[in-house]
Amino acid sequence: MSALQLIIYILLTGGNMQQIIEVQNLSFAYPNRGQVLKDISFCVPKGQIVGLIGASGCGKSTLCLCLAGIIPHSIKGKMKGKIWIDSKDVMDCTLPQLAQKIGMVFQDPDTQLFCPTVEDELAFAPENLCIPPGEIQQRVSKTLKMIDIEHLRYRNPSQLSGGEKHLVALGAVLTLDPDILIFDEVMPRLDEAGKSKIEQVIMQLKSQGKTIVMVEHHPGYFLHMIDRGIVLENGKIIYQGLEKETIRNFFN
Amino acid sequence: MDFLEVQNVYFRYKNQQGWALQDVSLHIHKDEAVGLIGHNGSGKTTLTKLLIGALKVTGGKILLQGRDINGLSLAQVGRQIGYLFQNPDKQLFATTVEGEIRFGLKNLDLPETEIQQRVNHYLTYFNMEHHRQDYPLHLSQGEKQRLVLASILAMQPQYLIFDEPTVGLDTYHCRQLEKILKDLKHQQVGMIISSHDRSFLERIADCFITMEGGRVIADAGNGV
Amino acid sequence: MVLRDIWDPRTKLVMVICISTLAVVYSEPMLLLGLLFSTFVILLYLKVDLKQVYYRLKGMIAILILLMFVQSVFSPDGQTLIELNHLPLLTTGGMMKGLSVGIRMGVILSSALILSTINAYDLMRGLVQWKVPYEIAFMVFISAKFLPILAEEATDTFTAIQMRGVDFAKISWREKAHVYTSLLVPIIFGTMVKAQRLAITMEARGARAYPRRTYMRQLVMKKQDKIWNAIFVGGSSMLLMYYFFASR
Repeated sequence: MSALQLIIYILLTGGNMQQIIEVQNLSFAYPNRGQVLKDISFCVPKGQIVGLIGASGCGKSTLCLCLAGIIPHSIKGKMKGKIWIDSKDVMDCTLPQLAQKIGMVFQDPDTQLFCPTVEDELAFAPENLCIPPGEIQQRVSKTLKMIDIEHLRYRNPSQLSGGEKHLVALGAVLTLDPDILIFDEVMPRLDEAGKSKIEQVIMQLKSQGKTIVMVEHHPGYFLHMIDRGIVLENGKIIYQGLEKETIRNFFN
Repeated sequence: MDFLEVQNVYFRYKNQQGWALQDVSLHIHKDEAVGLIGHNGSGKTTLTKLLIGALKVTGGKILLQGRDINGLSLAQVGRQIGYLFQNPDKQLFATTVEGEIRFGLKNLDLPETEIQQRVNHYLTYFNMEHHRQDYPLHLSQGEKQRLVLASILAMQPQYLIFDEPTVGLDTYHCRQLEKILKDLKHQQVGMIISSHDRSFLERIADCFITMEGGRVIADAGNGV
Repeated sequence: MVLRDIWDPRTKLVMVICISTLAVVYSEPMLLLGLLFSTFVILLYLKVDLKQVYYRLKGMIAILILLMFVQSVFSPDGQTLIELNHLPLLTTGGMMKGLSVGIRMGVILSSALILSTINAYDLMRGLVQWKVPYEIAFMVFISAKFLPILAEEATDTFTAIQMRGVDFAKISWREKAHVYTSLLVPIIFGTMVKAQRLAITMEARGARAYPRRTYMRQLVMKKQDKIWNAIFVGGSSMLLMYYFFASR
C-alpha cells in the first residue's frame, strides 16, 4: 500500500479492527466476455459474518473465486486491482497457501464431493498438503465431532441428504483449519431442517473467531445472522453497511 | 377418464437393490395443478420420469388417457405432455433461441406460416425477442428455463411436468416463474410440479402428493 | 467399523488380468469352462449376484447361435448334425467353436464383474503405492466416478429430444445422424461445466499442490492377498508357457 492509501484506509476503518479481507478497486473480465466485476472495494474485519447479496449474474460467485485465489491463479482473465488476505497480496500467495486461509463451500453438492466415504472426503485436502497420516486422522476426527457428523464417517457422500452433503463439504475444508469460510449459495437448496443446522454450525464457527462470507441471492434466509451486508448489482457494489432494512428494500 | 392413471407401480433401477418406488397409485386429472413434495431421494424424479415413459415400470401400469404408456413412443407422449428437467442445459439443442423454439415445431409438420407465428408469439410472451439470435447456452439460468418452457409450450401440450423448477433460480426469476405458472393455470394447462420447496408449491398447486422413501404417504386435495 | 473389502483391490486387478489373458489365449472349451467355474467361485466369494452375468450375456445369445452356424459352414469339422443340400449347416466342430467363444465371453464378462466390486478410490491409492503417477491414477478414478452420471445425463437429453417430436423409429439414417449431432451440444456442455466445477473445488482444497501427497490410510497387502497374487501370477504364467512352448 502507498502512504496515501494507508492513510485513507486508517481513516476509513478507524484503524482499530484487523481487516482479514481487503479488496481494492477490483475489476475482472473473463476472456471474450463483458466486465463481470467493476471497481469493487471493501474490507471485512476478522471474526465477522458478512453477507454478499445479489441477483444471479451479478458477479458474486466470480468475486468469491477471486478471494480464494482461483482467479487469477487457475482461471485466467483480465484482472485489475488488489486483494489482501490477512495482509498478504493474493497474487503473491500460492493456491495451497490460500487453501489454508480460505475454505469454500460451493452450491452444487454433486461436483464438490467425489470420495467414496465421508472420512476420505475430509482427508483429501490435508493429504494434498502432505500432512503426516497420524495428524490427518486427528484432524478428521476433530472436525467430524465439531460439526456433529461422526455418525456419517463411513457413509458414501453421494447418498446423503442435501443438508448433510453441505456439512461434509464444509468439513472437507475445515480440516485445513482456515480463518475464512465462504458459503456460496448453500441455503436455497436446503429444506428448513437443513437450513437451521447450517445456521447453527455457522454461529459456532463465528464463536471460534472464524470470519464468514455468506453469498446469497436473497437476504431473507440469513439476514438475522450477518454483521454487515454488501449488495452487488451488475458487478458493482451498490450498498455496504449494517442497516438490514435498507438491504431488504433492495430486494422488494 | 383420468388424464394419467398410475396403478400399483413398482420400480427398481437396473443393477440396484431395493425399490425406488413401491406400490404407487394415483389418479391425475387434466386441469389440476399438482404439487409433488418430498425430500431428495424420495422418488419424485423417478415417478415423473415414469409418467412420461422415459423409465419403464418394473411392476404395475401407467395409463395416459386410458392407453398404456409403454405402447407409446416418447415423441407421441411429447405431443401431450411437456417435461422440464431440473437443469435446463440438458434440453437445449439449437444454436439460436429462435431455432430452439422451431426445433419441436418442425417435427410437428406444421406449415411455415404457423411455425413463424408461434415462434413470434412465444418469444413475445416470454419477453425474449431481444435474444432471438443469441446462443441458448449463453443465457442466464432463469432465461434458459423460460426458453425451454417456450419451446415446449409452442408445441401446445395439454399437460406439463416440472422437476424441481425453483432450484438454481434467484428471487426475481422465481417470481417470474410463479407468474407464468399461474397464467398457464388460467389457460387450463394442467401440471405436476415436483419440489422440496413447500411454500412455492402452496402458492400454485390445487392439491398435493407427498412422497417419502419411494412411497406416496399422502395424497390430498385442496387445503393441505 | 471400517468397511473394507476382503481382498486388496490390487489383488482383484491381478486376478482379472490373469483370467482374461488366459481366456483370450486359450480356446479349449474344457479349460475355458474351468476358468468360468473359478471366476464364478470368486464372484460368489465376493457376494456378487451371478444373475448379473446372465443379464450381460443375454443380449449376445442370438449372436452366439448365429456364430455356431457360420463356423459350421465355413470351417466344417466333426460330425454333421444338420445339412442342407449336402452342405453342412451345423457340425459338432462348429458348435464347439461357437460354444467356446460363448464361454470365453462369459469368462471375460464375469471377470469384469470382479472389477465392479473394487472401491475405485482404494484402487487409486493402491496404484499410487505401486508407483503409478498420482495424476494418472486420479484421472482414472474421477472418470470411473463420473461416467455413470454423464451417462444418466445423456439419457435425459435423449429423452428430451424425443419428447420434442423426434420419433426415432420413423426417421431416416440421415436425420438420425443429424439428431445425434444436436445431442452432442448439451452433452459436451454439461460435461465441461461439471469438469470445471470439479476442478475448482479440488484446487480450492489444495489438489496438485505438490508433486506428492500423503495418505491417511495406507493400503496394506495382507498375507492372503500376497498368497492369492502369487497363485494367480504363477499359475497363469505356467499355463501360458505351456501353451506357447509345449503345444508346438
